[in-house]
Amino acid sequence: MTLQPLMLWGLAAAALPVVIHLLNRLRFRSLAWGAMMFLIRATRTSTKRARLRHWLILACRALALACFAYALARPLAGGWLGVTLGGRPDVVLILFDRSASMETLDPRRRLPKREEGLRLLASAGQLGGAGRYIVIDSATLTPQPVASPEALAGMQLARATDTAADWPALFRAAAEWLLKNQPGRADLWVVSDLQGSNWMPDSREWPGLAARLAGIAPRVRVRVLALPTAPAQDRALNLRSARARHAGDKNSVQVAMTCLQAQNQPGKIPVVMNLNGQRTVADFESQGARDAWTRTLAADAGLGWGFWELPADDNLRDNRAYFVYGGETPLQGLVAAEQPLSGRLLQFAVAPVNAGLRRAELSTPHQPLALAGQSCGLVVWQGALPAGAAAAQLRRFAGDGGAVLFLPPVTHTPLVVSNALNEFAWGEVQAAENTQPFRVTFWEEQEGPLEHTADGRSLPVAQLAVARRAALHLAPASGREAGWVTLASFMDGKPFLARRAVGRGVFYACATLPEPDWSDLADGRVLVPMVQRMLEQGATRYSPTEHALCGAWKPASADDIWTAAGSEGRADPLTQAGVYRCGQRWLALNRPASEDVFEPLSSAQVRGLLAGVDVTVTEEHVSAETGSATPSEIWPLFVLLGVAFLLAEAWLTLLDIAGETRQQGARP
Amino acid sequence: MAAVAQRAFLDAAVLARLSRLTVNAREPMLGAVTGLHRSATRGSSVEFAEYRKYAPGDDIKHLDWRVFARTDRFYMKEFEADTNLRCQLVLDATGSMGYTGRHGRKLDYAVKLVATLAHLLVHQGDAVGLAVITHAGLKEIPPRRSAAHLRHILDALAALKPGGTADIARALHDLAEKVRRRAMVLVFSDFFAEAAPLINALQHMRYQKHDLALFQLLDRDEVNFEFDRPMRFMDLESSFQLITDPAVTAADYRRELDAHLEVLQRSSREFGADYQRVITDRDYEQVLATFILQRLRGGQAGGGGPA
Repeated sequence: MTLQPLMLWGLAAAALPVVIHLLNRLRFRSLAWGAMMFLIRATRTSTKRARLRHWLILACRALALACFAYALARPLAGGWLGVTLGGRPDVVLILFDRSASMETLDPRRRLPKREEGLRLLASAGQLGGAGRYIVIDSATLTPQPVASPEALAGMQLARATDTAADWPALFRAAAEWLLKNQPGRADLWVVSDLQGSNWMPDSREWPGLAARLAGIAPRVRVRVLALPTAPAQDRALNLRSARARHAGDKNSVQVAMTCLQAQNQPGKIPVVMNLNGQRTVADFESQGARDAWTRTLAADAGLGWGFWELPADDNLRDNRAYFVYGGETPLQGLVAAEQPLSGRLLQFAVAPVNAGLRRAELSTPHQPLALAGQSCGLVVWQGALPAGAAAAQLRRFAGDGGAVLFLPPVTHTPLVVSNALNEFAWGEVQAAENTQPFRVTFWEEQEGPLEHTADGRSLPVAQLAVARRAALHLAPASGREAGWVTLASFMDGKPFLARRAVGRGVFYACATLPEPDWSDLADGRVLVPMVQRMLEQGATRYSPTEHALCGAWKPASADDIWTAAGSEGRADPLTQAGVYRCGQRWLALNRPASEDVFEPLSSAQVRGLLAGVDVTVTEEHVSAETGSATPSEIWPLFVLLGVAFLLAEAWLTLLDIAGETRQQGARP
Repeated sequence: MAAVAQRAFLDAAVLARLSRLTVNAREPMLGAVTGLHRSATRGSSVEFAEYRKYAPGDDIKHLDWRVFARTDRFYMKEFEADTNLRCQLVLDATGSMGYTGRHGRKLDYAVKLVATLAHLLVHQGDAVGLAVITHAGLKEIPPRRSAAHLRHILDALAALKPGGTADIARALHDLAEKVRRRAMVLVFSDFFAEAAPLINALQHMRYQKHDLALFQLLDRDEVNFEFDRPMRFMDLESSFQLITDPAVTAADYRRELDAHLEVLQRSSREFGADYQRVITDRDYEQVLATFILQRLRGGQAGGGGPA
């Protein structure tokens, strides 16, 4: 790769010595000669060494000229710039990663990876010379023309965001643009930290994408500028929940956060807690890589907002988590149960006081689900798994943000895999032997329906005595679909409670029933809080306050105008985390949790995803000596080589002359 | 001197200067005539041959006083029989002698040497013969001492044209057998032939008691082999051609040539023959003067340098 490729024509000069040699051979002179016998002997016997020396001299001359010509072309030693210089494409599509993890500071340069990427793009643009540049950024996925990569640095579409990146979608957008516009020879310049959760290597979309890109003519070249350096010191804060509490005339908000750190260093961490603009600082104890912090803060009645913030580290973007709270939320549920007793118990668990905003309807699985027009947050389904319209209705309900709890049928049913319900099925019912019930020995206490109480006490899950249980056949994660996660399990490892995210909502599956011959769930000590938490989760969408993930959230109506709440300057709810307000509705947007754990793909994995495509991955690690990731010019090396070849040529020529001089001295 | 005026290869001035010297034989000669050369037998020849005009410096004991009394002119009385010195001049006229450098053709140079020597020898009263090695075989003119014979030799030299190839060694063997009596044999050639048979033939000459002298004629180009560009060398003795870069082959060519010259010179010294290496850019008078003077001093001429 060279900075002055035109000078490569100078390499033809390397042929000059050979051409001159051949011309000399062609323009020979004829001479009638007498002493032919000596000449024949001379050419026949011992000219090999002389010939070799003369060819070496010729080679030295040619190589010296080639070195000088190549030095004039200003060669580069590898690196990102070297990779992007291979020819001039008609168009360069820049796929730019604006995810939150790109805000990680480079350990030496102290510059976010995103800005380092912009800097390297600008350098490549100065050297390149493509016909035009199109940028597709991870936040908007919209192809937009730019004058040059240098101009990108000042543009909105290159600014930092709190979103995650969807690389299959980015490549899909690029492939569609190429197929639609047919721009001629195209290069794809990919700028990314190779964050695994963004690239989604398990996605089933990759083979098709690679085939589409490989099928585009002329051949598309993919040049990946990888910035996979891990942060040296980074903690990330993520919201688990924020709930308003009312105890008599005292109002408070219970905030639960998760703190992740890559370095696993225990110690006290000062956390700034901002509640409705009031700033306080509290120390939290960090035990290691993952901490769950909960704090109840005194708050006024009504709606409110706040955020917690960690001290500055190598990624300022993942230090803050926002929350909103308050407002009257309808907590209504629907129980569809085969067993009347279970139905009544579950109805009580959903709505202990069946009045006002807290209601629970009871029906059977055979009746149509009356979900439309109601503020239903939870559906409890006890019995054989639904099929057909009912299954589709439940899935849609969960996709819109509702929660569904499945409980097993009392009778044994054949193993049926329900595609509509994400490959979940009930297995055989198993009874405990003798008088030893099944015991739940593990459950997730940090978050979820079985998390500990506001005052930090555990639910009495361990005291549950389960006499009968149904086997849960759960599908693992596939492609972009999240898999089932076991939240609680029996001693033998079989699941008691499992969860799967579906759209904005969630499916739960519990292995036993609140029937007397199944378990003692009916005592309510575990069942009621568990169901109540599921209901709260499913009813969140009816709350005037909403928590959502930045990038995944979209306004329900184009007429809604969301503005930043408080004094924070982030005003774009589509890309920036923060607290936003639209009329009486409040919204807290946070980064996706996947951005907080940095697990980059390897270069080989990236090449594997784009099998069949011309892919070059350049990992730009900062040089410890120079602090620079740009490749260096190596023309001085070629000048030195050229001089060395000339010296060798001179030495060989002198050897020749010395040999001749010795012989001349002995001549008559 | 009438013959001299007509020959381009004879220079009267050179002849005049060299005629003050006597071409001498190092070996005793067999002859019936009283001459300048030491005889292998005692006594002298008594058989009258012819008269010739007196020349200053002639021994007056051979003046024919009776002729002087009759004609009032001085005539020298000469006696017919074998002369004491019989000189056989051997000239190589094969193709390689036709090489023409910046200073002319080698054969022309050799002809000058041969003609001048023949003239000197005849005029000092010795018999001179000529043997020319050609591609068609050995052409001989037997030794005589008359002026008419000299003219015959000069005519033969003037008509010489180089060409073809010949086995020099074979020719020398034949000559060694043909020249029965002791003679002075002067060979003019470039000796571009295999060294071993050549030396064998020269030894044969010496075995026959001939006084042998070799003149190896070389052009400066043949010695130095300096050419500034690739050359197509066309063999003067055949149709063979060779294209080569002299810069590449020069060193090995010189090594081969030097080895050949060295063998020839060393062998000549070993079996008592005179050896003169003659580069044709040198004045031939000087070459001859050096040769004659060395003979007069009785030493062996063995000039290996630029003779």
